[in-house]
Amino acid sequence: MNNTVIKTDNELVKYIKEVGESNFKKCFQCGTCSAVCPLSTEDRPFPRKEMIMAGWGMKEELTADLDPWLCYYCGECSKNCPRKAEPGELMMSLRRFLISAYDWTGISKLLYKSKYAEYIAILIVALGVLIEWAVLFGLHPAAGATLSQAVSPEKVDYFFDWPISAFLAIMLTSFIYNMYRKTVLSDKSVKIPLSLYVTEAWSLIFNFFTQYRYAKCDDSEESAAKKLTSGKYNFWLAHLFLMISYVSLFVAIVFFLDWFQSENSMPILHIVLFDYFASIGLIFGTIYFIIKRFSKKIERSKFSHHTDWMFVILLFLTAVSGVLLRASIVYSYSVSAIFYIYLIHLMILFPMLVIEVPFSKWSHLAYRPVAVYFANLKEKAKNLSNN
Amino acid sequence: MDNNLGIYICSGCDIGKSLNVERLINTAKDSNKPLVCVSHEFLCGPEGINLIKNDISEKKINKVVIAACSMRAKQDVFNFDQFTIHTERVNLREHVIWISPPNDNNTQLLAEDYINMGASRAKKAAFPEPLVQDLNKTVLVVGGGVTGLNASINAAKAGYDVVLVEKKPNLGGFPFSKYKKWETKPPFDKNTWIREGLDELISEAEKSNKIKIYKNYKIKSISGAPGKFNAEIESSAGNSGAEPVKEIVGSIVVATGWKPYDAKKLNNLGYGLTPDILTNVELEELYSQLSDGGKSENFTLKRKSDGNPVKSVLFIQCAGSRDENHLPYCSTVCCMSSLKEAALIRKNNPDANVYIIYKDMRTMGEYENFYRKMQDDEGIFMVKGVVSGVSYDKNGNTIGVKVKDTLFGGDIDINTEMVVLATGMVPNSGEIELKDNTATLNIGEVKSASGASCPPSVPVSTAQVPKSGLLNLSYRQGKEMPDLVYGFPDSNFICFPYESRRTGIYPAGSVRMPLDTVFSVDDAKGAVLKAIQCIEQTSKGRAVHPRSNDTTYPFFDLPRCTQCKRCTEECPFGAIDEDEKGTPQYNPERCRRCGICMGACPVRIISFKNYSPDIIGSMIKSIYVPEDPTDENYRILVFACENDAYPALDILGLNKLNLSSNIRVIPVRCLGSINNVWYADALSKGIDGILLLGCKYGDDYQCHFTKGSELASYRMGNLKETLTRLVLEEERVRQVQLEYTDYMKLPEIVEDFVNKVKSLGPNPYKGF
Repeated sequence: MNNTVIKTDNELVKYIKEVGESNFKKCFQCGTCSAVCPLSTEDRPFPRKEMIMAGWGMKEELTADLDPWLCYYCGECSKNCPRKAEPGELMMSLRRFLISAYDWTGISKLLYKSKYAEYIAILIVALGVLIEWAVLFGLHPAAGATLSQAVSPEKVDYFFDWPISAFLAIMLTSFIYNMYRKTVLSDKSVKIPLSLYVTEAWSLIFNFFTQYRYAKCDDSEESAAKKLTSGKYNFWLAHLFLMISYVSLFVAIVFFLDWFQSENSMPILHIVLFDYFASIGLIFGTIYFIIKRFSKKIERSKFSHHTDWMFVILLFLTAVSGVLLRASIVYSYSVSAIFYIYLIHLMILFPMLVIEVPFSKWSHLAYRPVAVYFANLKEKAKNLSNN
Repeated sequence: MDNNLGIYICSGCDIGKSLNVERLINTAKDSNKPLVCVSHEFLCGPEGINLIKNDISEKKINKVVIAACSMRAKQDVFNFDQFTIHTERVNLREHVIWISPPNDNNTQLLAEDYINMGASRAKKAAFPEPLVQDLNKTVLVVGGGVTGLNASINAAKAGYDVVLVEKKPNLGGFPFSKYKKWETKPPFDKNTWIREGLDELISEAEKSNKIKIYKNYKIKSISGAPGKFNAEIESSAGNSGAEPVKEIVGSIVVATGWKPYDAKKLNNLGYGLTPDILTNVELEELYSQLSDGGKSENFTLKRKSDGNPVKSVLFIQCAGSRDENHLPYCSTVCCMSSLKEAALIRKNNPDANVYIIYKDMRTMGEYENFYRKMQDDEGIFMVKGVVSGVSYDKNGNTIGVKVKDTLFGGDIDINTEMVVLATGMVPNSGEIELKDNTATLNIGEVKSASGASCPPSVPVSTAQVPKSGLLNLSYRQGKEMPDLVYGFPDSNFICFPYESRRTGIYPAGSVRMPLDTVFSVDDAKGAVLKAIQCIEQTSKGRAVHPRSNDTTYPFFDLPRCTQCKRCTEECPFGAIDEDEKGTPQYNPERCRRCGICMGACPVRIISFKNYSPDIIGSMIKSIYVPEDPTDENYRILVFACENDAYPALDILGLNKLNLSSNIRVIPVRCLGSINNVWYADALSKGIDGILLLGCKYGDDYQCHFTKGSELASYRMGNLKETLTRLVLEEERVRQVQLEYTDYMKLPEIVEDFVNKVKSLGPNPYKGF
């Protein structure tokens, strides 16, 4: 077998340094990080392996690496690192690097490198929304118009909801295909039989809806009940609650916008669909993470990149403005008040969807379960070929 | 000489409560017939001391036996003029009552024996006569590098004349022609020129009127002894016609530094394939050239092969170091110099990537911070691994380096434009003489003057590879300082750094061990202090360490000498030369007073005034050996080294750990000073077993006299044959290597030996 010819890339080293606060160059490869990691395995000795690949700027190897997505940043590695090299933070930085590597447009890279780029991008989208709104509905509602007349739900569907859904679907699909190409297709050592894709699909769905690996981040011997009561599952549950809330609201708004604009305040169907519940979930979840990021007490939220802040803040503002909008409809505010609240809500919501979802932090919602799925596929395929 | 013996027994510190002092006095009087024999409850108090002083002045007592605490305690109080009064300390406290049950007959017998042994020694001991001389106090410094300059300047500052000899036409040594020094203090970014500080040092030495500098000179020969070395200094420029200069000096600091390991032996690492594969020293020289001797900062490092700017450099650390086939040791400086050079490359060729392949990155002490700083540079890539091959691609003019056992989890290849071999330091401690194609001295063929063949008297491991060319000493044992390992001068490194096995000659700097300039400066100061100490002590007739201030020295009764040459060979310090017949010629100034010669002498003609085969023999003879073979009547003689084993016994007492009452301890200067006649004395008297407690020997020896415990063990081999002839079991004699801190093990060591002897049964010669 030929040796790997090492190609180093110090531009990449610089980039990884820029998008996080890990001192990964300080690593002297003692392996403590991988030893204490509850999720690392013998075949996947992260984050030790990633520490040296990042230190040497090994672009090909890093791009093909799925392991950053298998890490949930419990922070044990960073706590125990004898050189304070912050391996946990490196895995975070590598996720940022990977998001920009899967993104063929190059926008992610810009957003991660510069916070001003991110501000400008958000402003541009918000302005775009304002212009589109002005063209569709004018800058103030016609006198005496009802809400449906002033802001037609059909138009919102046709010109806002569905285009953005299509845009996100196209972007994310192409990025995930890019990820598939770089991490699975490029790996010539494994050949994955087609049937596996189907039989392993459950792991994709299971991981998406449970984020079960978060629970494994604590490998102490305590019972699950004990962990639950002592708060060891808090982060996982808060994260899961936030994610479920987000997904259900997204689905609800895309398909049931009509109802959101009606004054019917107590429809059984929507309670079942968690609409109110989900709004509470979003607000509670984002406040929880903002507090964590402010207090910097746990490893996970010790370092906050500008994209992290932007993500939680936009999400929080979206939820608050959405609840305000819904309240103003239910409590029959004047149409012009609702008209402006509606506009502001969209000017917050759309930058979040257009910028954060495909190009920035939000995209981990898609990449993580897919990466777990790909990793499962590769492992199963390897086992099959070995037997 | 009058023998006015006074025995003073202290009953303080519970001695009176644990022993029958009345009976002690009576036995002491019966056995030793002293002029005075009294007890006092507080002998070290003013009253007790006055009691002794009065007896000294009124009753002319000149042999004072103090039966109280250890000789290591209260030395300031029991301090009488050593040239007129012999003070013998008998250790009733640490070695008797603290380690034995109180008011027990065996404990009482132990105390009585110790008093009798002390009294017999006191009776035979004579007073030392110090050899006070007017000696030369000049310090000769060999080598004018960083260490040599610092040594000279410090000696001059202390008021001593200095003769500084430098082989090259310029002072300054290794750094003189190099480029930058590595920073020794945070924030490690000053990037100073290597000559900064060095030039000041050179001019300070040159301006000093106390320092006489010989540039372009080397040592032709050195003879004599501390305080009167005769150094012949000759030109090293090659004009052999010039007369050598003669200088008389008191002591010598050897600061001859190091030379880089010969890279021609490293063709496995590609040396010689292309001019772009060079050593760290060659890179330094290249930098020095490029910078025009430090005048220019703005230049680019170019490849020697095609003159293009270098875009990638790979450093191979431990090139020929920590490798059994080359230098087995770490030179301590290569990691720092490679990091420094990596920083220079990154500064002068900002596009270049630097790879460092290491076994371990060793940046001592504060230097770790420099390593950490360099780690952060995104253009420097360090990885642990072993270079398994270096190849050169002529077409692409690139060098391929294969690295195995990496932390990438496999073997890797790196392509680079330049390879730097970080080679280690070889001490300039003289060159090996290759006479008659043999590099080893054959010690087995020593013949006595009478022509009878002697068994080899020196264990083969002490054989020295003969060297010359540095000091060219006219010593019988060879021309250079003996090596310990790898060409570094032998010394008890833990206790006595800067020492060599040639008294008055002190190696410092990287000839002593691999050091950088910062440590060399400290080393120079330490060695110069030692050199000054040696001159001062020797001129007062006192020993240098480890027997500092000892005024005794061995006396050779030459008419009885059989010219067996054992003393001249075995002296670890080369103190004894010999004439053409083989008669020893003793140099007291070179002597450390260990008594190894005394232990070696088969005809017992070597003795100290207060320490001789006869004196210790009479101590042995004064031990009471009961004939009745019961368990408590077994007698085991313990020879305990005064340096580690005796203090260990004291600490054992301090911890009140019990020790068998069968033992009788005699302190010895060194196990090497044990003369075989003492075994005969003891065994013929009926002593059942002999235990030697002394320092560890071997490569990491702890012996304060470097070879003593090893020689004792070697001589015991000869003894065992004699024992077998006498139908005595050889197990009756045992040597145990002991460190000071091993005192906890002593009860077990002694118990084990006593049980062994008991299993052999009593000594059949008892009662003869």
